Parts: sequence; C-alpha cells; structure tokens
Amino acid sequence: MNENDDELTPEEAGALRSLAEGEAPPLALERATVARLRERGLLAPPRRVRAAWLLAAAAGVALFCAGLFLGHRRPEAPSSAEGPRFVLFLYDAPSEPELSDAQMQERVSEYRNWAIGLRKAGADIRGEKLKPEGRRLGSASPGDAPLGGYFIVSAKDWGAAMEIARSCPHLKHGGTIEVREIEKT
Amino acid sequence: MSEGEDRSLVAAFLARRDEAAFLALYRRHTPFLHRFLRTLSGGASETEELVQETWVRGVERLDGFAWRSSLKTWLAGIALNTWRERRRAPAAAPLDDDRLPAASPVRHEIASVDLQRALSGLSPGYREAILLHDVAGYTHEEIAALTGVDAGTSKSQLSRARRALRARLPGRSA
Repeated sequence: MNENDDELTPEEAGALRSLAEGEAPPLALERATVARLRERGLLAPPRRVRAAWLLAAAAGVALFCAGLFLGHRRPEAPSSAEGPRFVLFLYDAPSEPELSDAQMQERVSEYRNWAIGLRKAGADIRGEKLKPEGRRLGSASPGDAPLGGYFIVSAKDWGAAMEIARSCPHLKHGGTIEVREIEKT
Repeated sequence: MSEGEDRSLVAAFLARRDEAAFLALYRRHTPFLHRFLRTLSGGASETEELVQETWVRGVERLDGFAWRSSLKTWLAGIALNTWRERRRAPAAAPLDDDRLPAASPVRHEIASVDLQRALSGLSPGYREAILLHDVAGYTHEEIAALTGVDAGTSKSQLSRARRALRARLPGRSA
C-alpha cells in the first residue's frame, strides 16, 4: 500500500483484484441449490417421469443398436428360443427421487452400459419400456411400487438368471426386481 | 452481461418457475456470487451454503425486484446480508488459515496467501469494505446502495480498512 495516503498502488490493486479470480463453482452446488429451492416450494414441480421407464426405453434402444453391431460380429449368439428365458420385472424405488436432466442422463447411461455389457458377453437380453397405465386381474398385489420396465434374458438356469439380476444397477438405486421364468409353451 | 438479457431471463423464470429457467439465471450469476462469498467467508462448504441461501432469498423476492440496480448488484447485496447474518450467528466459526480460499496463481509481488491471511485477520467490517471496493470492484455509490451506509462513510471505512490491511501484510506497515 502507498504509505503516504490510502490509495492503492497498481501492485496492490492487482493483487486484490486477483482474489476475485477464484475457481468455478462446483457442479454439485447447482444440483444442491435446485434441490433446496424445491424443498422450499420455490420451483415448479419437475415433469414427473418414471426413471425406470426411461431406463428401460434407453436399454431397449441400446440393445437394438448393440444387436445391429454384434449381429455382424457374433452370428453364433445364442437364440432366445434355445435355453430357459427369464423376465426381470423392475419395480421403482418406493420413493423414487426426482432426477435432474443430468442425473437422468447419467442413470440412463448406467443401465444402457449394463445391458450392452451383458449382450457383449453373449447374453440374449432385451428390454422394453412399459406405459404407465396398467390393468390388473385378480386380487394379488405386487405392492405400492410401480412397475417401470422389464428385461427378458436367456440364462442357463435360475442361478445364472439371479446372477444377472443381481448385477442390474436397478437394485442399488432402491428398486426391486422380480425374476420369473418364462414358461415354454 | 446486459441488463436486457437479465430482464428476459427473470421474466421467463417468473412466468414458469421451472428448473431450466432458473438454471439460466443461476449459471449466469453464480460464478460471481461464488467468488464473492468465497472471498468473504473463506471456507468452501460455508461458501456453498451461502450461495444456496442467497439464491433461495433471491428467488423468494425476485418478483418484487424493481431493477433500481443491476441484478448482479442486487444479488450481491443479498449475498452480503446473508453472510453478515451468518457471521453474527453463534455457530459461525472464525476464519483461520485452514479455511482460506484456494490461492490464485501468484502474479503479483504481494502473495495471494499473504493477502488472504491479512484479510482474514481484519474485522468483518474492514474486510467487507475492501472486498466490496477493491476486490469486487463496486463504487462507493454502489456500496452505499448495497449496505445502506452513505458513500462518504464507505470511503472513510475503506481508508481505515486499507491501513489496517497494510499493517498486516509482511514487510509493510501503516
């Protein structure tokens, strides 16, 4: 500082201004701020999209693409009609958290990569999205969790089918998977 | 950063109050607010809490914002008051060297770390005066609008703050 008065020297002014050149705000802060605004009711509710719904759709698209690719490379891939086939019903977490667009994209990639990995390993796995509306017959209730999507996978036996189900990222996101064997007719 | 763009973004947000409209405003002004509060508060986690609280308060009051100042200055005023309230709260931790913000690359003879350490040792009022004027670049008139003191008081406060800062810098005296 200038010892004779209170004005800043150029060196001092530059040093002080340099303090304003900090690092960029972390990305997580953006998500945290949006979440806080939502908690306070200051943002409109997000478009409510069933996460698993999108995930199943994404996986289906990815499998289609992977099938095109692998179809040229692996003509010997097992046919779905050969061995036992199982359905993995994916139920959403009871309190499915609201996902931002970025989180949704991240989740979609995670499921897509899981399905593609299985396909590349030789598994015959297909997924479909389900419309949210459903009709139920009989009195049995699967509970409050909505059914978000399903995969059909070939596996040599129940043990292999359960191993595939356990590897699905749906579980770590709080979802539930019901495995059912498709009865051959 | 034009006021016209800010006005359009605010109007879009107030019409829909959706996440996308908010993020347009957030991404435009948060880099400044984050640096401003980081320099004021020192700690990374406290800074993030302050940024969040600033936006909560800003969004709560946005429909009453009369554009007598720029949106950036208005948000800075909210940030400043949020920090002041936090500072007065009993749980507020004192600044210490471990909580100093990451130093910018040293490009000046006065090392950033020395400057930050000296700033952190000032009284909150002196630190605020220097940060608003010499770091954030506000004029005394803008500071008067932000803080509620008159411009003359802001000038004299800055003079005293600079002398106090100089006394705390290594190898310098008031």
